[in-house]
Amino acid sequence: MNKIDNAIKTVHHMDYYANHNGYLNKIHPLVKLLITIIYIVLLTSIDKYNLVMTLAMSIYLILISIIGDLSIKNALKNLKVVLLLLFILGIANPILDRTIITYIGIVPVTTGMISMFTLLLKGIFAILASYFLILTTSIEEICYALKMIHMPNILITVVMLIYRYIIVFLKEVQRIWVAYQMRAPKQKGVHYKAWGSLIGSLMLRSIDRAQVVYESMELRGFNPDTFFVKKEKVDKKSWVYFCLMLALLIILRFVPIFEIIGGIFI
Amino acid sequence: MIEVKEVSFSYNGSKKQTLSNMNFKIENEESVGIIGANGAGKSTILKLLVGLELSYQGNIIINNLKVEKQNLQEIRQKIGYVFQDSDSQLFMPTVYEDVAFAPRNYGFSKEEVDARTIEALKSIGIEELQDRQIYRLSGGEKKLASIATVLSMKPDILIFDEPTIALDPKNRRRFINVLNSLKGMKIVTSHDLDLIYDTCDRTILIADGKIIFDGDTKTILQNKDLLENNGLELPLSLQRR
Repeated sequence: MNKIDNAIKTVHHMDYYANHNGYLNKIHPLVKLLITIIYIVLLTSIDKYNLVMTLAMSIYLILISIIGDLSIKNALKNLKVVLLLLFILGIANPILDRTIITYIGIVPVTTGMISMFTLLLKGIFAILASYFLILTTSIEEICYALKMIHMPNILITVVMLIYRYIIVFLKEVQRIWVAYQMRAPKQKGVHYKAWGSLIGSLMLRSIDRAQVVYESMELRGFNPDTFFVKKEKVDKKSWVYFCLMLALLIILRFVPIFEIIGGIFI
Repeated sequence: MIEVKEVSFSYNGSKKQTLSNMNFKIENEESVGIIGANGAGKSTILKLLVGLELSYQGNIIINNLKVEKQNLQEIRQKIGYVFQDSDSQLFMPTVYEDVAFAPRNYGFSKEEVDARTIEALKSIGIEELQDRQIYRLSGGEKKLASIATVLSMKPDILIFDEPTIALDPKNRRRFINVLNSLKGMKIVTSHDLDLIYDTCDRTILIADGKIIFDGDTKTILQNKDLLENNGLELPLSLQRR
């Protein structure tokens, strides 16, 4: 129950942050979206054994968290399930790729271990970058930016509605869970015999609720064809932000910063 | 003005007619209550009025426009529909964002959106809630916020579907005061006959999709036999007398 409550609160919290009046919120959504995409593309293009350069890409995230007053710690906490998944995905690397490249004390360091950490970091950084985008840009603005880069309307509408329906779905889960627990107080979790009917009714109720939400949007003029057309120009401040961030990302990706800094001291 | 002429309707796949041969007219500035037992067809009428169901027979004319696909945008701009469940109506993160949703969709300028939003919030006395997150609102506040979301469209017609469900007495009273202070045509469907008594001059009683009575609210709500024959009871305020 607490987990569902927390999930609902997290989504509300993200929504609230996205509509906050912070510095990053005022940057044009297209600029933020493009910078995030460029960041992820540059990040994923780094060689799988280049752990140092991958680590250097974290500077962008630290900078964003400072400018946007965002907590990396909280972000990681909210994303722990995804992080676990990333870990599972990367765990095969040290098993399959056992070439020893160095030793830390007596512990051998293999290329598989390096590639696992690189993969893990790339995953974490890419997710954090997307998460920070969502925290500083409302879903409507993200959809608007997607429209500006000519993403098909149908896909944008799906993105927006999925996001809106997450809450609807979670609230239905919460209601069904409470109703079940009230009548099965000694049961830990949901008995497997009840899974089918609970999932079935959850689906039907969620669809009904989602339908009403959509009707409510329609009755207040929502039209996927026109909703995302705002025609707001990218302002000067956003252009400056774009140029600075792009320059930073290019430096982080192509200049071995940590090596240069290390060279000063050695 | 709303004109409903010879309207019949069945839901997809159902042989039973939900609405059968309905006729009524509602003039501007009228407050009309639509009452009836569960399944009588109250909510269906409302859905037909706003074009959420279009496969009806007959004619529904709203301000000289027939309710059909090509007129829906214009018609919906004139109608504010407040849903029974406020949680389904309020889907944006904050009250302000939700109230501003409709004016933004209709393409008003930023200044106009802001002016309409603030005006709507002020008209029902909840301007202090504008930055509040929706999930932090109480049931009564959600209902008032739901009304504000449609008032920002400046509609000619306001429709309320079972508006007092889940409201405590204080919030119910507050809602009634707000409802009575609103101008324009109002249509309220409810089982809460005291609400209808307090807010509507005219009442339409429906049963099994047919109009049983259409006339003065006091006349019908004092008619115990008529109400009981159609699955309803006298309003509580009249039972005590």
